[in-house]
Amino acid sequence: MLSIKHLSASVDGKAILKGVDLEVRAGEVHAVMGPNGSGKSTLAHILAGRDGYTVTDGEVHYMGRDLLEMEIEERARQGLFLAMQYPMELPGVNNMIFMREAMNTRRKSQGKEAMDAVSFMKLVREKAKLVKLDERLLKRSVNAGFSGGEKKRNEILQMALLEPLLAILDETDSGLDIDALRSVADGVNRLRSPQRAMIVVTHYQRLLDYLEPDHVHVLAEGRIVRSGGMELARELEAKGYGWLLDEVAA
Amino acid sequence: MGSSNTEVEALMGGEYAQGFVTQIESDTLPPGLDEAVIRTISSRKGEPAWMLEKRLTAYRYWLTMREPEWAAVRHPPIDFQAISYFSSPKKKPQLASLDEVDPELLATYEKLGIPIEEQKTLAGVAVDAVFDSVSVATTFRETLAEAGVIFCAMSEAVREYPDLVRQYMGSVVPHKDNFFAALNSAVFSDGTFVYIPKGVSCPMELSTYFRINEAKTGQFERTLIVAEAGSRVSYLEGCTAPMRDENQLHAAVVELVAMEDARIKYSTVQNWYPGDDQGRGGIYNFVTKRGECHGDRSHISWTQVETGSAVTWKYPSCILRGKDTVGEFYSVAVTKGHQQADTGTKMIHLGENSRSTIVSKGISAMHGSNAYRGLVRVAAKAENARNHSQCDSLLIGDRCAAHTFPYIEVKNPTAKVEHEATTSKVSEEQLFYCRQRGLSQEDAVSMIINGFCKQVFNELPMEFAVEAQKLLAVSLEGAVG
Amino acid sequence: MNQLIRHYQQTAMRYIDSRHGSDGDWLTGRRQAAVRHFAELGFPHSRTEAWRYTGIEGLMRQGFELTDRFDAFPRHAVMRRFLREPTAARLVFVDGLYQADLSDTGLVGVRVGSLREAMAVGDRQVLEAVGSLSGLGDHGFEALNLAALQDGAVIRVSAGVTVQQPIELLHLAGKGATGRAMCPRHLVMLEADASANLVERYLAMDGETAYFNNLVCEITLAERASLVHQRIQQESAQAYHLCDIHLGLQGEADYQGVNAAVGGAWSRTRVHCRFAEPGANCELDGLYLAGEGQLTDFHLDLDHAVPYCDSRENFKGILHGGGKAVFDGLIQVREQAQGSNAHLSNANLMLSRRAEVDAKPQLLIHADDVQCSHGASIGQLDDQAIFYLRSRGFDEGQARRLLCQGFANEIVERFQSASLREQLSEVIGQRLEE
Repeated sequence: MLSIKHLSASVDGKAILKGVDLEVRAGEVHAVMGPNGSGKSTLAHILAGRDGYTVTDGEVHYMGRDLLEMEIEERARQGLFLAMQYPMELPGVNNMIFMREAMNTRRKSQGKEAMDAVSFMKLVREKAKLVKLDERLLKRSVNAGFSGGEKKRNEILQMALLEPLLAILDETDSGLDIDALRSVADGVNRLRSPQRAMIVVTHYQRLLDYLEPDHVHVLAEGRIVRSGGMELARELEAKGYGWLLDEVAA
Repeated sequence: MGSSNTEVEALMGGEYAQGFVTQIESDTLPPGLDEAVIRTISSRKGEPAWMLEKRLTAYRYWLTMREPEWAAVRHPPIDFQAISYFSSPKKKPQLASLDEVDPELLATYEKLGIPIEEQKTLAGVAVDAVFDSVSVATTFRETLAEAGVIFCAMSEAVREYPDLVRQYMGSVVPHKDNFFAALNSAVFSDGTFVYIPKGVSCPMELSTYFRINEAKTGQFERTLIVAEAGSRVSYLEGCTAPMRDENQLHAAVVELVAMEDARIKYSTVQNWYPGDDQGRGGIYNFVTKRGECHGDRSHISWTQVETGSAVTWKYPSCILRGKDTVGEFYSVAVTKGHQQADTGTKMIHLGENSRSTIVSKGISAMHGSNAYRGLVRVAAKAENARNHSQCDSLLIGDRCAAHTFPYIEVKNPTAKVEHEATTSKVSEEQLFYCRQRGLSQEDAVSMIINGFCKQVFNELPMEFAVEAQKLLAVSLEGAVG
Repeated sequence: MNQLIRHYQQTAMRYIDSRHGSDGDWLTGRRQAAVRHFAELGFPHSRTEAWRYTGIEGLMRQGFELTDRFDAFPRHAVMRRFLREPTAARLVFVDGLYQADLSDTGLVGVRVGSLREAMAVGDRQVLEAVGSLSGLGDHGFEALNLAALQDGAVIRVSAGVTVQQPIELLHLAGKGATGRAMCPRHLVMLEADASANLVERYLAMDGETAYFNNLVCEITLAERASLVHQRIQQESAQAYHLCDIHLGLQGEADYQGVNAAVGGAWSRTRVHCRFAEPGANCELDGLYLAGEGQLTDFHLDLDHAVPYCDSRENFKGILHGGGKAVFDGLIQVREQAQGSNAHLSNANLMLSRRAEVDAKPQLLIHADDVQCSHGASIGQLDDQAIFYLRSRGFDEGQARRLLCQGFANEIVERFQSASLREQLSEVIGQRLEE
């Protein structure tokens, strides 16, 4: 589904990614871990098409297409979803309307009929329950005045509605207390399916305990320096990143 | 980021849809202004002598005045002798019957989306249609008359209700107020008069639709709304004009008077022709709007959506004279192309416990320049006055400008006044977020801008909120809201 | 008015003549140009937008003289007013004139001296810096300052030098200042990577003397230079104090200014900051206290002429008695100044029925990639807070004073010097007792 080959990228002339390779197939959950500043979020942003990064080398293919050539919204319409570390506030933009617009745009690109307001409302309420998002927040402006946990739940709600093929979760666990973490993780687990792949970007192991990824990768200094299974995540949690970096350096 | 500016601007090339000219024979005075012209206007309208006297007094005073220069707008000097001060469609309709309205005119309003045949109108909205210098049709007069509401053309009111007009015209905006108010007081052509008797809630929305058609004419309408004790009214005005290469002047005066417990809601959707991309043509919109909350607990609310005109200069204001009075100003002003707007409000707190709210949203794009200019004054006797002002500016592209000039004058220690203002552009992060959810750049911009204006749109009567949103979308280049 | 302008013009010309031989041709030429400029500008009036709330009628009635005259004070009386902390250098001015015997200027890497000395020896380098930021003056008074400038401080910190301890500028006015218009001008220049801390105070030896302190301050910070500038205006109750501070900031320079205006019958301080190169930062904090018979005016003019500069201003005022405050804060972002961040805030506490506040923040924005905001508020002490304090046993007066101190503290704490903080807290406490 996603194939990243030797991806290198820089910001303001400073190299952040230095040759990342990653293969993701449908149904798989990959965790990308790494110390702060290792380039994890950069990777997530480049996959979603955010401005401000210069790809200096390598290529990325998604569903057989050159991902880097696609516009931001085109990627989204083709099923790529980024749950953001800092979801934006959109003052005055009604959450419900925003989600309906987004969903109907996605449906249109899939050749489906737009969903009418009533069915949509029903669907949103149902999904909101699953991620334990207070219904009142649906009527407010997108993320405006939401707590950190509410913003993250709102992201997962959007993910549930848009039914992406490839979901990228960028530090979705940051700033969450244990209850919020659990309900977000539950929401994500419900979305696991043989057709859907996920890339979970995180600094800590705790979200992974709930998600149990198939593959764990460590990104350090712009490269994937080690790949393994959950045991790698546990080892990192126990020993930190230092030993691995030393080993790689040696 | 430069590229996204260009894209946003490309989105903004929206055509001015109301730019057509109606082919209709007009009776237009030759350009020029002197006492004879004023006498002609007055006699054409069959005015009583006192009205002519009022006009002449204003004219003589105007001659001693100079055009104001303090606004943050620039335009070539206006040649007041090159303007025609009166133009009316030749087949003057009998106002009593809509059947006699020139079909060309009916078609014009139809085309503008303002049907004036009653069976086709928006339910519950009465319309006064002003074409160049005269009112051509007023709908639902009978329904309103049953409720005791007077809703008619100003020229008719001068003849039919002289006592009311004499009492209130110029009581809120005297002819000495400013240069353009003086000019209007001398040459005003037509406009709307509304009188809501004591205790009456006007049974429908009232609206006036202003249309400039003739070339080289100015439009100088005069609107007066008097709401007696305990009454309520919601009034809306809309404005359009054909596309022409030369600038045309629109200098209106609007006066509102609210007695005890009365409530007036005045909404404007102003879409005069803004001129072309090079800044050629367009309307100079120099308007004096002021309401007096005369009685205790009276309430005046101004809402405006300003998307048109080459130059706008207007400050709908409230004099909060009574106790516990409320003044509100909600504004969205869009300037693109070479449009310039200097707009805002004055809240003059004289009465105890008077309260005011100001929400101003300015959007500048391309070479547009948008200034908020406002005054909040709390007089020494206005105990417990409250004001909150929020003025936000959104910039689209790096050649536009946004200015904020609030003046705050407080002479009473129990006052609480707060002013906040921000200026920023549509954030790249917000755009990215929307596009990541699959929205196009165009839809994302439109959605964010609508969100930015939401608080103001919420104040418009329902039917017009939708219109305003559409208008905003069109003027911000076809991005559908 | 015309007569007054002619009067001042003639007085200024006489003063220039009286300095014959002590100025050098170059400075004499500048002075004469300033007189002509003054004659063109005249005095500001209420129709001048920047002066609409600040009347000058009282000042005009006084008819101040331009002369060089001062009364010496006993040394101990002056010393009592020195900054308590150790200083790197000290310049003392009495009635507007430099007092070498009370000053202390021996410092490595720093040139500290008086403008009068520089005039006397015809120091071109210094003299050419006069007016480099202010030009001939933006208003009549500023032009008069140049025409009749008498003295002032010259401080130049060499490249890379860090002066840790404060450099103190102490202005004392006594009976000798009576009926005089003093025209001091300070020149502060920090070369690249230099840093310094300047403490500037205006104090009265006699609380009731009427005089006019008409000063101009030109501060240039070269690349990466940084200056902390702590200012207190505590002139006599009858004094007029007008100060124009011009800041010129080169690339990545950093200016942190904190101002307190608590004295004078009429005082106006204008800070004009021009960002000349990208990456500079300017922070201004201010506190004003206006009571019976006082007018206090702050005008801030932040000119973002180049990209990527930041400015932040926070001014607070307390009005009591018949005090009147004027606040005008302009943030201007010019066309090419993308990436500007500018935020201004002004809060006023109105404690009296006869007080008056006129606030006018302004944003003038010509670039789009900016973050700019301003806020202004006028209000009173929170009744609930007073209730809370009273329920803890404070009487109402104490409660009010505590809350006012709390309101002011945000600014007082911006003063690095502990003794200045104490001095200010004391003044606030005393004033609120009244």
